[in-house]
Amino acid sequence: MTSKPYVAVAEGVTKVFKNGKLEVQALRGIDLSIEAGDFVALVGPSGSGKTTLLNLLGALDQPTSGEVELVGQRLTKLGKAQRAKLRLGSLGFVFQAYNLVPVLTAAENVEFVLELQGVGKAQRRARALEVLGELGLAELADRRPNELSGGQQQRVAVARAVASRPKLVLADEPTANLDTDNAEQLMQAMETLHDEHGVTFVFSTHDPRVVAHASRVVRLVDGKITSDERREER
Amino acid sequence: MTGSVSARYALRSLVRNGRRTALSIIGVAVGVGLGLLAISMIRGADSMTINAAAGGGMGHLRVVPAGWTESRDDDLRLASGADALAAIRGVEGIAVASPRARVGGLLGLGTRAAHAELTGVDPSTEPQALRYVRDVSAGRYLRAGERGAIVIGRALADRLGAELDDELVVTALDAGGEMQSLLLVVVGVVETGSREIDAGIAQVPLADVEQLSGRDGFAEITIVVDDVTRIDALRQRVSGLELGGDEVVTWAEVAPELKQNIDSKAGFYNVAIMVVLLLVLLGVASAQLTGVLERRKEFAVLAAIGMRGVHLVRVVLTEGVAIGVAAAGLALLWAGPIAWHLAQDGIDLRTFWKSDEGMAFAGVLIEPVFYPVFGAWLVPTALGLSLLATVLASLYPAWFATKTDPALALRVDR
Ligand SMILES: Nc1ncnc2c1ncn2[C@@H]1O[C@H](COP(=O)(O)OP(=O)(O)OP(=O)(O)O)[C@@H](O)[C@H]1O
Ligand SMILES: [Mg+2]
Repeated sequence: MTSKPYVAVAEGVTKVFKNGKLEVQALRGIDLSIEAGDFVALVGPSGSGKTTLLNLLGALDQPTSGEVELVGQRLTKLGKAQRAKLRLGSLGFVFQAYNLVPVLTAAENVEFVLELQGVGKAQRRARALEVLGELGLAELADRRPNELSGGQQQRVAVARAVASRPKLVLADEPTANLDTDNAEQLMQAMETLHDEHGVTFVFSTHDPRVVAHASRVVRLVDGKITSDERREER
Repeated sequence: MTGSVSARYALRSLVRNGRRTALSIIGVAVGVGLGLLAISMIRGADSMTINAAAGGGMGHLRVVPAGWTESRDDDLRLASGADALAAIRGVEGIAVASPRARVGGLLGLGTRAAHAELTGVDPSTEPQALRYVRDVSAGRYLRAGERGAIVIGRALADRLGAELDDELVVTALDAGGEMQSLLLVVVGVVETGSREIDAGIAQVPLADVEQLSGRDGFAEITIVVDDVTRIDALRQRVSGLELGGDEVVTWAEVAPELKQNIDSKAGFYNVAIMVVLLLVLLGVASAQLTGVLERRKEFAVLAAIGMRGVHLVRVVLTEGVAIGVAAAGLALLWAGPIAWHLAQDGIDLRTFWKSDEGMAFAGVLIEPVFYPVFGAWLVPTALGLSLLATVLASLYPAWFATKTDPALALRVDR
């Protein structure tokens, strides 16, 4: 496993938010390469630019300057619809909250992404149940989000994110609303998917116990990367 | 429909906001139901007007001499004769075909005189073509083959001071400019209830008009059909017969002002229905927009995971269609039975319009009771009106949904 392909590359990326006359420099020159199979924790104080960076790596936004390349495609060359297509085909997302569509069951939430990808009815149902089963959620497949605990909801969100076999899964503070036990369970679910299927994860967090799961830790301060460490042992 | 997750998403979102959805459905159903009733009544009133005009002597169709439509010249005569008349009477769907010819003349009785337009008719068919002469209030109607007899309206009889069996002297100018005179015995007096119409009734055997005018043959053949909706088809059929250059026209061409009246009324009602639908549409649009705004976070998450604008539009439009179909059903449920009852019992205009005189409009005696139309057409009309309102109402909210910024999904409201 010497020359792993890059799934995401940021080069000299800056992001400036303009609020009227006020300009906020959210990112000031980010160089970062995410390799296939990485399990990256993005850490840093509040306001350091973690969410902003994840937005760019997730093709949800465009950089002010610099270039982001996702699975070989230059983000600045893509229009809105093409970015949506890229997200649907190659990326998975886990958000801090409100991940799931409340009127759909756990399985339907997972199926939804597959349906958008054009996967046939029987196949997508089977795939949804397979992923939910892998994360120990088989029993909960037909429950609606309001019948699930916060931890269960987040794990369903992870199931949805990986169901379409994305090249990269991005998670912005996925454990922020969870207690220690549920946070631990969620991290273990992500770790299993990483170890067994080689799913690439980049997640931001404030929680040191969550950081402990990462094989690579990128630290952001004030819109700049101040350290980027790989750890073989975790 | 329920096979696709996005359809389930749309329908369950409606169920989740059951109260708002129900209010939207009721709102549309009320508007559409009113629209259905209005259309049912307009159609009933229109066919009543057309039939009243047709039975008032105009006919649904009329065979006229070439050039008559432009000149309106009553001195023109048809090329068609008895053979053509027999052929027309043989066409299936034609209730009656009655030949006529007119001549203007002076009626005199003793010292009194009145100008009148004499209509020469075929006594065996005329009462079916002109319902006013069906009930003769005094005396009798003309008999087939009879000569020198006249049936007049009450107003004309009063003007002349004429009574049954009086002999009227009629004087007219013939085709060659010569004065022609005839003695006509009053065999019947007609009372329609409208003096305006009574004043215009003076019917004599066709042969007497031929003699007075010095012109042989028919000036027109007036046709009444069984089914108003087949007027155009029957016109084609009759035109296909051997008519020697004569033209077949519809009531609308005979009386363009009546047609215009019906059309402008239809225009007015269409605008009224559209206004009601527009109000309904605005209500639904606001409810749908609220629904979209409430789900901004949901839509942002869906947009973030790659749901494209067209998919979001489809979800919102599915909701609009579902509301529309449900509302159409509800509209039929409440307005259908009412329309059915009205179609059975009719609407009696005398309850709104108190008058002893018969109701006459533009020389036509209007039936005081008309029957709104009920039929299978109500279903597609209900669906059409309903979906028009709800789908249009969903367009702006749908467009708004596509404007959702997917990056919103990562931002947490604190
Ligand atoms: N849409 C926006 N408009 C204006 N400023 C923004 C916007 N998004 C982020 N910012 C600013 O950019 C900077 C970086 O914000 P960002 O959300 O990326 O930080 P973060 O590291 O995710 O913080 P936290 O840990 O609190 O989530 C902050 O100063 C923030 O106020
Ligand atoms: Mg953040």
